[in-house]
Amino acid sequence: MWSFLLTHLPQLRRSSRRFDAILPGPNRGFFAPGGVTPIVRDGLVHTYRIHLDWGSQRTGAWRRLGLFFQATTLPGSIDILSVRVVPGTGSSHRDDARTAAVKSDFALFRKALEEAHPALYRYTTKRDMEAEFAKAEAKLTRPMTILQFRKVLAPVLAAIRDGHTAFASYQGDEISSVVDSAKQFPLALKFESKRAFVLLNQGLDDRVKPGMEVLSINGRSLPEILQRILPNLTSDGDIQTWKMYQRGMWANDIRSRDFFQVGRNGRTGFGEAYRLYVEDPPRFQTTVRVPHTRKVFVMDLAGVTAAEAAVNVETNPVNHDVLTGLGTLRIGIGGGGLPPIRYLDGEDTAILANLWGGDFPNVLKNECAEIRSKGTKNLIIDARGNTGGFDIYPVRN
Amino acid sequence: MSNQVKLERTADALRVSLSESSRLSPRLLAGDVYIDLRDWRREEWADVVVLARTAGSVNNMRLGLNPPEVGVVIPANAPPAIAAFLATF
Repeated sequence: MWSFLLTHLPQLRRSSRRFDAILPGPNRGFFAPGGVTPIVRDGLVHTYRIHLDWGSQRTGAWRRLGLFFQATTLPGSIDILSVRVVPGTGSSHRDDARTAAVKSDFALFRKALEEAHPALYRYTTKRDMEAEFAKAEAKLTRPMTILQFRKVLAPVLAAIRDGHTAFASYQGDEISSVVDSAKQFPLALKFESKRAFVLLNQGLDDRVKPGMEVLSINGRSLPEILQRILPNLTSDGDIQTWKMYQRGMWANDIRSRDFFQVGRNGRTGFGEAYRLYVEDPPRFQTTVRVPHTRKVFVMDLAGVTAAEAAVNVETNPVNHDVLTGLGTLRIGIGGGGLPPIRYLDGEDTAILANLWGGDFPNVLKNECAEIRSKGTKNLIIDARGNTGGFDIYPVRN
Repeated sequence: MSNQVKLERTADALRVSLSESSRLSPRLLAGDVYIDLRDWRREEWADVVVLARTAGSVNNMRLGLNPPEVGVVIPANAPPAIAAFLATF
């Protein structure tokens, strides 16, 4: 492995004195932050392969390579045994090296889960998880892009059936760059069970209106599409509604606090999943059904980037009524300028709406005091759209 | 605030230490090391592979490329780290 450096980088040997300049330096000295990796802290030597290929935005002269370390709370040290650079393309020898590197990454992924996940076998037996790992590893027969590698890992993560073990920002969020620049499906959808309805039109075609049901895309029925997508998505246990709920969310916000912003931020959970797990076409032959007439249409819809979607959703007139309606909904404490509590039947019944965000314990305390002081008999807690909370609240209160 | 690191040669490695002088906040210490290069192009390379070992608090490693301005002054007492970096070449 090391011989390539001596072969391909004679300048390294000629000018090795420059490598005496491995110096401590301030991290602000780098303006092109690259890939990131967590560190295994077991005192053993581990191999970390950190990706350099960000695409066209990072071409050009490479004048300095830095390694930036972080520690939480306590001082500490790390021993660096070697640093090497792997070429991007070339001979089969290099391909072999890259395939080996992919396998090494997968081994680290598996080791991290097996060592650190607190409930790896809670819903899936050890035997079945090992089968999932083996099935994924069998796919690592060639060099892979980060996107291809992600698709190998996704079903393994999903098999754990832990909604909190999922992809987040990865390697400087390169996946987000890929998804944002792709021509995505131009409709933000809302799912009712496994049926999909248009919530907002993120394209420019004003024939597709909110409320229409999407039946198929590019010749695949919606059930077929979901069959490809859902095995790659994480959720707790056997819960399927969470997966469907997230397909209607703004993809950047997995907590979905900004559900009512869906469409306005460009990316949607469904559009992203379609790009990642189904296909990456420029256009979408989409079959839709009008709910009240049951008429079925096939539309040829152009894909949109995330940036285009965010603009189109505001300018396409078919979205006007939905956007107006969304603007009146309560979002968190005081959302839409409304208080978190309202009354029916005089003051006999109180409706406590979503209380997420803000100073939740104090707001809850104050609202409960108000309900008691009014002698309210009935309380309705409206938790729709609330995706979870913090354990600390019931502990503290 | 300074976020310098301390470098030390060990038998088989270059030890990078984050100390109180590396502290950025009550919960975060950070620092970096770098190598100046010449005539390389980023697009010709795919990955940087690092062999590393720790049992301490260092929990994250990130790559950085290129300074805002070219040129560094190499202190006379800079540790001869090249031997450690090339130990397995």
